[in-house]
Amino acid sequence: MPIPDENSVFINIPYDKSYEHIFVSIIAALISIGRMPRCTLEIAEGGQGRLTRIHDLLESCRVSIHDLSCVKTPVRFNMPFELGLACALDRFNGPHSYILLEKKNYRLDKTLSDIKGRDPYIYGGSMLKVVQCVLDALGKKEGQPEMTRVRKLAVDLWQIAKEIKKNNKVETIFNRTSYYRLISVGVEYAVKRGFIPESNGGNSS
Amino acid sequence: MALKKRESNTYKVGRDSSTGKFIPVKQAERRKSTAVVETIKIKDRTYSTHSDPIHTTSGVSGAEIIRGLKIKQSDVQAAKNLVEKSQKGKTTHKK
Repeated sequence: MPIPDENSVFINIPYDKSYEHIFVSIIAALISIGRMPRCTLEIAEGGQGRLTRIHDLLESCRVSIHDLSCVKTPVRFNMPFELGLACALDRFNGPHSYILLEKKNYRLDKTLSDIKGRDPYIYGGSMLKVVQCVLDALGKKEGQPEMTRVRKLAVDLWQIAKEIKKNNKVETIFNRTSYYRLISVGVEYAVKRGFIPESNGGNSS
Repeated sequence: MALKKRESNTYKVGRDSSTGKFIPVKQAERRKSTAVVETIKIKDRTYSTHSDPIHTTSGVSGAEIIRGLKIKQSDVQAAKNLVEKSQKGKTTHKK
């Protein structure tokens, strides 16, 4: 069993056009606190089987973020399924922590009553609120970056995401090429703005 | 003793049925007509509330993120160009 990386965070979010800005915000917030965003977009189709590779990726992360707010039709089961994998990982192979995100308060009690008693972070569909949720859940003990600066980073990254889509002539950001480009830009911004050091020897604010 | 621990998630208590007061389990077992032995379940605390915040003391550097995700240097360079371009755009816009 691989040792989970303390700084890697698995993002489990619907790959839907309406969730692009949320995805970008989560990436911006994670990078700003020196966490490494990971998601299934990294997984290329290979002979190993997609499920095995999703499991391996999840296992290599100490924390996962699960957005369970997509309850529209056509129903998508990927998010609750991956949350189930994370729960099992925590229970049997731990340590693994998982963070739940929802748009609406109390809705999760109805849509996923099995997890009743565990409060999700409510972000109301706002890309700025989701930044707050990520920082609240995963922020640094000391030297937490200012919320307004991280939000600015998220907004700027979202502008770049639109440009990446335009340049790559793709409908959404949810493809491997755009994702890597987005992460690279996020890192570049975060380093330039002093959120994280460029390399291990550098300084961060 | 009123409490008798048996398993990690349950324990037994004795209770006097007339007064409702806790009594030792052994005594309750002896006085079957006037006392009862109850099994108390300890609530599973795994799912009590938000997960504890998982704060880090030290994050990773930019180079580590790039290396960890195996991002190609061409992507990094393209990202740099995009950032530069957007900054230039902002400066021009301000003028």
